[in-house]
Amino acid sequence: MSGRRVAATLQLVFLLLFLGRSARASRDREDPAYLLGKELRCPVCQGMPIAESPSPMAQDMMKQVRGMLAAGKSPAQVRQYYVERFGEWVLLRPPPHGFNWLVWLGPPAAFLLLGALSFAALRKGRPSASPAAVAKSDAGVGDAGAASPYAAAIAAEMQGERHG
Amino acid sequence: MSTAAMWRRGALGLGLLLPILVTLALGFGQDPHAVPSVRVNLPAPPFALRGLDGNLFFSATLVGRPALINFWSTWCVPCQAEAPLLNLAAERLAPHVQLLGVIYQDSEAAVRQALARQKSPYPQLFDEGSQMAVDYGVSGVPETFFVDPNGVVVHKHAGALTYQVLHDVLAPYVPANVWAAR
Amino acid sequence: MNLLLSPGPCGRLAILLALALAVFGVVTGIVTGRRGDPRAFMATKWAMWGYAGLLLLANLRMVEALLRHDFSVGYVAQVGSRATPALYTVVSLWSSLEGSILFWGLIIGVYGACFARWPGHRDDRGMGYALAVQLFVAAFFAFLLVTAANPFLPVWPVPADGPGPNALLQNHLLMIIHPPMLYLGYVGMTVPFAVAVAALLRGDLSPGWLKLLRRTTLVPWTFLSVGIILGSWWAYEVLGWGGYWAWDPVENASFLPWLAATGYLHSTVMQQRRKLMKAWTVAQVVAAFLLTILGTFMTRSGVFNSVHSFTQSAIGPIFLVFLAGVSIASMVLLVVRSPLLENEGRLEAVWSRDTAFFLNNLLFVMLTFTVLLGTLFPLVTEAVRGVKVSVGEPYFDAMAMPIGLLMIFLMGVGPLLPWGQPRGSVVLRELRWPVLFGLLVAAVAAWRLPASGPVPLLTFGLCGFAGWVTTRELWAPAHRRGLEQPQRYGRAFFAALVAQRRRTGGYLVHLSILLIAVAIAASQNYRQTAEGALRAGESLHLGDLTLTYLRTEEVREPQRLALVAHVRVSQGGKSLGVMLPRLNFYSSMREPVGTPHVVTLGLRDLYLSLMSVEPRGERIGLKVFSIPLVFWIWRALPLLVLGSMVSMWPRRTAARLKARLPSSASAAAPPPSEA
Repeated sequence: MSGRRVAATLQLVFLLLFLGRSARASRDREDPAYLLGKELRCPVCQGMPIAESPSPMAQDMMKQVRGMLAAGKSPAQVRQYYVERFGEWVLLRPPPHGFNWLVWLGPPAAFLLLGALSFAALRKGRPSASPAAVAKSDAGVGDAGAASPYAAAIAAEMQGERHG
Repeated sequence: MSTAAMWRRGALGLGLLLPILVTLALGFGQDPHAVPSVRVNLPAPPFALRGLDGNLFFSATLVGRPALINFWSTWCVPCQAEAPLLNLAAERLAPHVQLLGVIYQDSEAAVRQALARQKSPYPQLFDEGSQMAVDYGVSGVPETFFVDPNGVVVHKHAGALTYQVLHDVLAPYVPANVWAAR
Repeated sequence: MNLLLSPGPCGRLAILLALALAVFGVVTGIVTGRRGDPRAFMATKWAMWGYAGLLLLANLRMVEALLRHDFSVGYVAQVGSRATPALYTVVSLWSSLEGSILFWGLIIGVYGACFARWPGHRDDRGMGYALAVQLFVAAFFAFLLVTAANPFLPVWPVPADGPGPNALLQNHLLMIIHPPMLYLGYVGMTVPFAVAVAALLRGDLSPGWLKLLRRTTLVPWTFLSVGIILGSWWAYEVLGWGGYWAWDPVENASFLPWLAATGYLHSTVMQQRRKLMKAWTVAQVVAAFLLTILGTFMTRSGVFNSVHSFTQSAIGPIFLVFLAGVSIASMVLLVVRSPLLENEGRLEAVWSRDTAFFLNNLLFVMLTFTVLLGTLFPLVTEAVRGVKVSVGEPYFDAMAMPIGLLMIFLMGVGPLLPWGQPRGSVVLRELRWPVLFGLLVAAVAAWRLPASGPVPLLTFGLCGFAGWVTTRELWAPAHRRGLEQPQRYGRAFFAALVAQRRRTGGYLVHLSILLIAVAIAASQNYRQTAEGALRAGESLHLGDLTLTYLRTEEVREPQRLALVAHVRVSQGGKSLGVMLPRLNFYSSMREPVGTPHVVTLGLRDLYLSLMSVEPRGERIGLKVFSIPLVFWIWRALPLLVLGSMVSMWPRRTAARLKARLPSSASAAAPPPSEA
């Protein structure tokens, strides 16, 4: 490890140590009411969760959520409580059932399908002898004695860019 | 590339594109701010709230008579617009329909000040902690809920109330001659 | 004649003329593309310049009307007010629907005018087509200005005063800078779209075309990045909930074209290097443009529910027709020209940089699709099921997080993998240090930070890994060049960086993205909150900090009344100062608009938000956040801008720079055709 790397590492370690010191005490992520409140839509605001909204209604609802959790209700029961009153609309995370599966499974399905199709197409094409590839192998051989293969690869890449 | 492959690609592209365009077009018919109520056709949630006079008002006393429950506040402009209609309705429909005002997200001082200027002919209740607003799924003011004599919510109206809505919803419970007297 | 001198009629006439010129230019542009007639080409360029000039005139007349409080002009009557300070009066040019469309027209004109003077183009016919597309979009905006969004409509009787612009607009200086940045980014995406459509029409997707595409994209891409980040900063500084991004439809509208453009900026590299993924590139260019139109539709049609959106107007249906027409036409063009877009080579080896780039593009497409689907899903459900649902932050966070982490991983692995057919041993050896460093970062974070699950640790570790690789990629080749000339190390080092501007710039942007990723992970997972109602002298505790409420002061300003709470912050008995969160009351707004007070203490932001003030300041509702590292998001912005500027810096200037450095010039001299 060179001196520079050691210095950089130490700096980062110190940075994290300092960060650690300032982040003791309770955090939002440890507060179950906050986490639940992030998933419930404030009925009077525009799409904000009750955990973040400054409106009095949202704050009253946060108090209710804290009360219900303290009384031993599960998050699912609390969610159900609000769905009964405001409808599914109140949930900012669409519950995975029925039609809602589309929004959860659509993106991964599209990823797999599109990925498989395009990857197959990319692998199928003619074998190429593009100039960049040739330049790469040349440079790789030429520089190999002088420096590491990695440096050679970088040199090849920079060669490639110059022609590009 | 073959023409068939081209058509396939074209069909695939259109298949992706059209749903988006159709969805957007359908979006025009809707008001993004309107939230449908899930309480309609369900029993009205019970409540016991403190009135202006300090006494508790129990929802159980409503049984047997239709009720109109109006959520409002002093800072809401459409609430002021609908107030004369509600006051008039309270006077005319009093024997047949029970009107209730529920104060939503407002300070008691502001409400007392407003009601000192213009007295309300029907009970006004304070909803501390917004429990009743949550139970009824209120998503803004003014909102008006109509409850039938069996205690079932029959209609919810968001925004300033109009005579037409009042008439259409309450007509079954109020003799025709009362409306005619308007 | 007298009539023409007043802003209203003059503006209307200018826009009508601009519309006519744009339509004329579309025709001559197509003629240029088909026949290569130099006179038609000249006419097209003049049409573009004329359009820009007329829109500039119309905008200036509107500013004049705003400043003179000429309430006979419809838009002034709508947003103007005599009480508004002059600066905000000028800004209200783009604060409301009609004015913003007028401003858009100007930006389209300016981009088009600069593009028509593009120095490097070699193909007049392609340029003719491109200008025709640019003018077509310009004509659409002029048409809007004549019909549904006419800002110059006369008002009768002339009101004495107006309501003034939206209060949120007047609340912070960032609101002055960030919308024009977004507009510059949004509207600028028309140019690469025009370049791509022209290339398809001409049937020419040569390397020269790629370069033009990259250059014309980088300018709006940079503006869009700046606009998005400044927008999140604005939300953070103004909205008072300690957050900066809420996946709101309007935020998504600005993010979607950025994602598509970032995607194809990467796939152009693949196309240049390996002659692969041409179809991806072109499809994403088209998508980026369509997404800007969709975004405009979303913010201005009233179909979406958002804090930022404009009020409902008749403009929606017109936009939808335009969107449908352009998207179907582009798709037909893409399909008809698909033989041009076939891969010329193949992906040789799975473990190569080719694959990394391919996966990266796939992830960008997937993220774009996810954001689009999530934003539109409530509309879909309402249409299909008749039920209102919400798709909010929890959904987007859950979906975007794994995609983002994979992208960071690829950002680190990609540069280690050679193009084409790599030798496995090289990769493994070079992975050693970055991986160790990433593990070290994650381990230190796990040891020092409160437990918060694996996700933030994974993020820190991956960012450490990718950061190491990126820094080494920047440093190592330049260092090697420097060692070749030890006596001129600095200049040689710099020259090597300059010689590879695109690479250097790209990696600088990567570094800024890594900083932003760390900032997001830290601020999302380690934020602390305290809130309470305080009487004078009472305190609130947040970690090691004590916040004491002193008093509330009433401040009268011309356009608003403000209640300013004085809160002393102290740490271990030592006072750090007084913070001043405030509530502003505007005559046009029923509810007050808060201005939180934010200060950076070491590695965290202390964020005070005044929730409520009881009469005479007897008691206040105060919410306090301690948010670690969040400011890195905005601090990373200069690095991002520097990176993209380095990347798009013209070659000629760089060549001149290199010419002054003796020995490296021989190695890195550009081919003569480039100069």
